[in-house]
Amino acid sequence: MADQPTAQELILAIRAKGVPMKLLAEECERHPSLLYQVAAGKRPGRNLLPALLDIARTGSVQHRPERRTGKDGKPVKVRGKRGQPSRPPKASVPAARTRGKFSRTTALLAGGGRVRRVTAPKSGRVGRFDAQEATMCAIAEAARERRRVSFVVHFADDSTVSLGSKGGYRGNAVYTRAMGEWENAFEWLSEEVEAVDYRSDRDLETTITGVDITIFGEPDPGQEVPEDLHADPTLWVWGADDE
Amino acid sequence: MTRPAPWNLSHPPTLWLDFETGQGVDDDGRSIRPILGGRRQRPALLDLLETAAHHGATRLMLSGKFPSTSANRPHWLLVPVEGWEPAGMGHYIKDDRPPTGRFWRPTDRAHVEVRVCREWFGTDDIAPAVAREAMQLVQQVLGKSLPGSLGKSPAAAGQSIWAYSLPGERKRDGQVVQEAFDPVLIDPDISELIHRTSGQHRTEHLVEGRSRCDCGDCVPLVPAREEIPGFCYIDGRFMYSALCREIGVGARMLTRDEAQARTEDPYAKGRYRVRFTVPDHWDTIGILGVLREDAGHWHWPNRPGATYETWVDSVELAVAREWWQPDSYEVLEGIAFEKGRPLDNFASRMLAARKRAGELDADVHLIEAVEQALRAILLQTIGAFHSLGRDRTMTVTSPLDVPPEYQGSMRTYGDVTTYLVPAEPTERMLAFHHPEYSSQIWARERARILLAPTAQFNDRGRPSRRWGALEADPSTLLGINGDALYLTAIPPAALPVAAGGGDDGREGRLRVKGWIPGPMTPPPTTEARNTLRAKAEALGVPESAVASSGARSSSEVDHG
Repeated sequence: MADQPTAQELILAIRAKGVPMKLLAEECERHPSLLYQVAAGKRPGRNLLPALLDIARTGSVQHRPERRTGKDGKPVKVRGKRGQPSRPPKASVPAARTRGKFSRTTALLAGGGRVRRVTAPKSGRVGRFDAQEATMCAIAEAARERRRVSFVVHFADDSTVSLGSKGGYRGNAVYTRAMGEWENAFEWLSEEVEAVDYRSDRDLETTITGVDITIFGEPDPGQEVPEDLHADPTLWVWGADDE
Repeated sequence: MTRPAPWNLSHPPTLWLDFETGQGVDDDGRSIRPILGGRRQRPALLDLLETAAHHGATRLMLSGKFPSTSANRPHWLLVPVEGWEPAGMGHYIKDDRPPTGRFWRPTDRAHVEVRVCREWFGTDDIAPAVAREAMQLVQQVLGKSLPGSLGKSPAAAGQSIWAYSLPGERKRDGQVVQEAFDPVLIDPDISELIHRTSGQHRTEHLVEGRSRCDCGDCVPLVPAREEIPGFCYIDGRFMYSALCREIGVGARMLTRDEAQARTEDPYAKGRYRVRFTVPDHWDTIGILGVLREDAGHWHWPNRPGATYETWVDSVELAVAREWWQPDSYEVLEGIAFEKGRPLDNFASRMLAARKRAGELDADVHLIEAVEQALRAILLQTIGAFHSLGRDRTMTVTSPLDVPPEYQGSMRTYGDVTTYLVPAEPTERMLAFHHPEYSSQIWARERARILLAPTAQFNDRGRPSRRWGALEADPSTLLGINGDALYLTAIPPAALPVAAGGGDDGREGRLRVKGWIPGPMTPPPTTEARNTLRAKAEALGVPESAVASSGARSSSEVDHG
């Protein structure tokens, strides 16, 4: 095991590629301050090793770091927000995408970019609603950060269509247009696919069953953050509804 | 260098194989069986490559059923192939487009290029032996237009046909009787301007609903819930070949005054930046297209009073000039093209090849495959004038290794991540880069769908020689898709001459390809419309519909 890098080395190596600590912490399901401490060598962070190795190799986590358990076998409580008592940690979000069900995963990219991946069931109101909401959250994230965004849309017939692969869309423009479609990101994506892939003989009933949303590029100061996102930082936040 | 040089390639030894079974034929029609490795019952990509190398083939043309691609599963071209590596320019994989795989085996330096028959024949559902025979027939019908090999792709074949078709210098008794025609390369800034401001096909859904443009200035023409008498599918015959005559060459910028003066000449070719306002009386489809910056695609505003600025071709402006009042538009600046015939020979050679294909003594499906290949050559060659080369697909194992500037084009296939790197234009590619040609052809297509020449036909008691979407009753217009028009009634102009229509069988004519009798609800989306199109094409035009086209004149009307 002498050749195995330490958690500190891995964090520093991943950070050297421009990955923000906040995103890295989000993927490890830990607070950024913990990762800063590991990066500074103040804590060993051994339980983070498998997740950090995954990220270093593939950009995404296959195994979420396990929570320390108490004598009762339950996860040890984590510190609450200032002035609030400690609480049980949030349930872990599955790291692997699950085809045919709602799932939400992330791959980290160099320079602070990321791919937010959403899968949706073909039918089932709740799952599809969750997937649409998650897609809106990813779009809002790009708009908040004034970045560009591109999409790979997956359909039930296994076909895929790329949108914005030549430089992407401005995050705020996509957000405004998707909000204009009754806040339904899938509705907007369907229209956009029609416009781009007009020669396709795609079946009438083909359904969006997944979207990869790539948020990339340097923040553009000329891109205005939509007013509602500016006014309410809790609106459309990726992963905010995790229990 | 302005004169493009044709590709001078020898025919690559090819195996034509079915992807699933690995069985097929070689260039001489000899039966080929796959060399299966391990204990496999069905061939893997590795087996197909090994089979090609064993037979000394450098190209695999695959057809049949391919595995679907998804984010969870590796692309069939990106699976591990032991002993083989991506070669030269690397692979080309983009969405559902026909992919290209380039492999080499370092041990013996064997190279194999993997291509799919769909690139030429528009379908994967073609037997290897048929594909091989069809390709040989394509070569045969092209004849002297393309000496040597067809090339690696329809675009490469078309570029070579074009390069060979350019008139060279002719001498008689030592005297030059005809100068060589070397296509003028236009100023890169103007080239970029044309590239950025010219759209391709017109695609518009005119039925109320989610497929109708949501800008507010594109008024739907057909209500969603009102029944329609039927669905008529009209399509242009080998349209591009009819649009290549006397394309303007060269390009120079015009001031506002120069541009306004030039628009007075109906024969002067050019592009103009105009500010237009849809007239108050207007009740049908829009005439001039505008790029929607917020959406990244084109729309054709038709709401009376809607005002926009856009770049249009002289042929599109001529239509607006005829149907709108002179004060409906104002010319702001322009680009002038000079008279030329850079594509006339090319188009006539493609037409001659198509004619020869129709005269072949072969099975119908074989002739159809040949015609499809010729269509692919024509379409992709025009598209290639707009392009500066194909992107290159790079593969990495971690998304973290994708350079930030290419992250927008990322795709994931199982454990492999791909991204596209734009081609670096070479001097050779630049010789084939003529967006001024492609932009004119696409503009002509858009103008033709509005108003196209026909053979003489009886239009409500008057002889007429033209018809298009602008002549149709607006309430019968369902949509436009390139050179296809969808209506709720069969217009006489698009029927054969023998049935009293204006289709005399010439290329470029709008003709009825299918009819579904109603009543029915109008297609709410473009997908629904595409489904109806396929059904209509399968049904064709029944005799009864042709005979009963007395009701046809109801689909025609005057606009102001």
